[in-house]
Amino acid sequence: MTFLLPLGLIALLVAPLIYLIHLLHGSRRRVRVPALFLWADLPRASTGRERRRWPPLSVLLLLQLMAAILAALALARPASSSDPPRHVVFVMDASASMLATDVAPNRFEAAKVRASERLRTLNNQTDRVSLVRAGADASLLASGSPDAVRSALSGVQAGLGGAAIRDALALATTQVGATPERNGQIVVFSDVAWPTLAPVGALGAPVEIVAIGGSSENQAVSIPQVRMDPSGRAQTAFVEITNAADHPVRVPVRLTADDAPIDQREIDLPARGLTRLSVPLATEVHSISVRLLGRDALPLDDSATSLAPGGPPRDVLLIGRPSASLRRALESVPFVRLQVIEPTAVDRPRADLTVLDSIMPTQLPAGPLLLVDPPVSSARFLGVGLGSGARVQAGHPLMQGLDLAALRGETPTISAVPGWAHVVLGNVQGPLVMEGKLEGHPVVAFTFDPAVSGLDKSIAFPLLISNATSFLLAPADTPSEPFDTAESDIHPRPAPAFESVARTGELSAGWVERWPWLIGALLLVLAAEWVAFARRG
Amino acid sequence: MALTIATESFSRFERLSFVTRRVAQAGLGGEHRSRRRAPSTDFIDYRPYQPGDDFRRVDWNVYGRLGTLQVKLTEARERLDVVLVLDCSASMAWGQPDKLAFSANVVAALGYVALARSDAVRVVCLRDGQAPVVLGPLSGRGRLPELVRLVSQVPSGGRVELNRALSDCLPSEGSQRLVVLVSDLLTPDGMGDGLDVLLAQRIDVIVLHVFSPDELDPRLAGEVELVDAESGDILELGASLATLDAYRGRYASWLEDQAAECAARGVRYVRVSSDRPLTSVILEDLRHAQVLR
Repeated sequence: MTFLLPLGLIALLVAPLIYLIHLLHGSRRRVRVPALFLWADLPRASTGRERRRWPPLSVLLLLQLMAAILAALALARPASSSDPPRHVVFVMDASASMLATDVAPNRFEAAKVRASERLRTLNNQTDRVSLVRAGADASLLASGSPDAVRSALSGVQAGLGGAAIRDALALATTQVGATPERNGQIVVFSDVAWPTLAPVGALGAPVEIVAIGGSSENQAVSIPQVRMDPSGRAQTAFVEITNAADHPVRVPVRLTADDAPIDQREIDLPARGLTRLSVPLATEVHSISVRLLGRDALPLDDSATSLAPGGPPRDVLLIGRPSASLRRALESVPFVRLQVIEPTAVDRPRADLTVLDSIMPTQLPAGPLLLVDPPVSSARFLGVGLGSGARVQAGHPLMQGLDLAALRGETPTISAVPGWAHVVLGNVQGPLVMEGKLEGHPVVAFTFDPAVSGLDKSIAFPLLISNATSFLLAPADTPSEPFDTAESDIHPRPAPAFESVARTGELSAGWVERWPWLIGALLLVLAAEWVAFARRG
Repeated sequence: MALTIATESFSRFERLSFVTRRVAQAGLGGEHRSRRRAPSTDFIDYRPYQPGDDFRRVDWNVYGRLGTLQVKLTEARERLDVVLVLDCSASMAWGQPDKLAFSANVVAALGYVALARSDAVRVVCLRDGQAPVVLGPLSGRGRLPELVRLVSQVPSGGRVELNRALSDCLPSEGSQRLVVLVSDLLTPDGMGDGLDVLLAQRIDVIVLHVFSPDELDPRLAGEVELVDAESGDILELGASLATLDAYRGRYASWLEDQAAECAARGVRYVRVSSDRPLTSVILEDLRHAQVLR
């Protein structure tokens, strides 16, 4: 039994109001007497109005309270399910675009509210619910009765990456398939701000998409790319500012170098277009930040910071027996001061970044780590595998300027994604480029041998190494999950149609409303109240 | 709403007549004693013959024994002027059974008794702030339907000040009347002054005090708002057992006061409960109280 319109229960407030009226005015009944002078100045009991005591529970009061309660319950539309038990999978889009504030407080919180409302319509005794978070990866957060899932739903948070909707639908289908005796249903709470999905095939249950939000008012700034001039006497920062809105906008932009403002200007952006800026920098500038000063729906992508080749050099320690190409690639990074030692070396100098080439020491060196083709036998590295590595985060800082098609031809040495890692690039065989935090260390891992396919001889390799060193040497306040720049386009797309092998049906179908019985009981109570009132006189 | 008058039982009152303390003066033809000396069969005395007396009235047996001429004196029979005063205030339309319905039946029955005895009957209905409705004088049984129609359709409501109403209800001409007041006497100022005005006119007054059993023993409990049937005033009351006991005591005392007030003025006072059968009231209560015989 549940209430389809719980707001109707507000009418229960009438019951204490009735009691209050009886308290204030008592339950006095009017009695006509032939003459009042015979009753004057008699010794009498004090009345309720005089002593403000609780009114006696008269039949009339009880009937009135019962009528109010029955009416309130009828308004709330109680209903019971007559359908077979269901298994409903809630897929929560936890992508960065769900943090857009065009819906208060943001799309993700609004989606949680809608999901909670849906939970209340389910039968806690018979129905089963699974909660899947579609962030950068799809993960199952909880499964069980609606009440059991409610706490997990309240704790789920949106991430900064994209939405692995395809993986989430596959996971939801798996969950529904585990309970074939139940009617399955997949409900996706999302802003539908996804790129076009690859075909997902026939799913195990009908899919309903609950669309949240609808604005496209967002401007974003890309991570600045800073290049040293060939002369070595100047640097130039290249910045892209994009507009996801359907109309041109003018946004103020502030640039700071090493936390000192260097420029502020207003930029005109075409509708759903971009503008590129090039900013000359002094050679000693170490970092550059760009911030959009206007207000839009998604504040996450309004600022970006990047390291510049200039500034003081950073110590990078390369441990292993590296290939010449890896060494050259590291040495070509302008702000890197490379030092190479053998794996067996006892005295390891302190470094800003440590590159482990084909080794995994028992005790990890301090600071960020770049793992190149780590040994797969390391249990610490593998951890607990979750999800699939078939993923491309094209907007990730590690992938900037790279030909992804060439990279995806590599053969990964592992097939599952470790629990600590986010996949930046992978193929059907497994993850290729991952990043995350391993035992507290910021880590970027290349799970392939660059020399096998000849990648180390291509122009992409030093660029990949440069991206990785920049990413790992970036300021420490970089979020653990990098922002997926594709999420800046918060413009909702048309919801795709999904095929289902199961019959489609409304989630709210199968409810038998019980309010007519309550109305009948209410009429009986009102009749009894009328009789009681008439008999009282 | 018209009241129901049970006229079918009136035939049992055929032989009754009013007992009056005043001689009748409403004209010859009645059945009540009069101060007038007129030829009749009711012997009262002898007196010596005087010239001019009707020679037929000389008692020759007395002349034979005493040798003097004595004339027989006989008493004239006159009609009684009966005024039936019905209190039609709102308090009369109360109780179970209704005091007004009961009183209307009593008035109709008394009217029948008077008409059957060839008395002159007037019916006066006292109303709230208006001139009373007056019917009569009626004479003869043939006028009974007229009387019944009046008392069955009399409107009730409002409050009647008995003192003023009794003072104003009768026409100034005539005297030696019998006034029967049928009322619940529920007026805060009482009726003493009104009775005094009637008694000053040498009117024989009978008070029929009609009360309801519900007045004697009210069924109240808890918090109530008492509404005066006549004035509409409201008294908020927490009715406890002590309250009801005090009320019963006050009501009994008030009843005794009414009886004492009448007794002090030499007015016949009869207390009648509205749940008594009409025949019991007429044949028993009123005969026992020497109102009828």
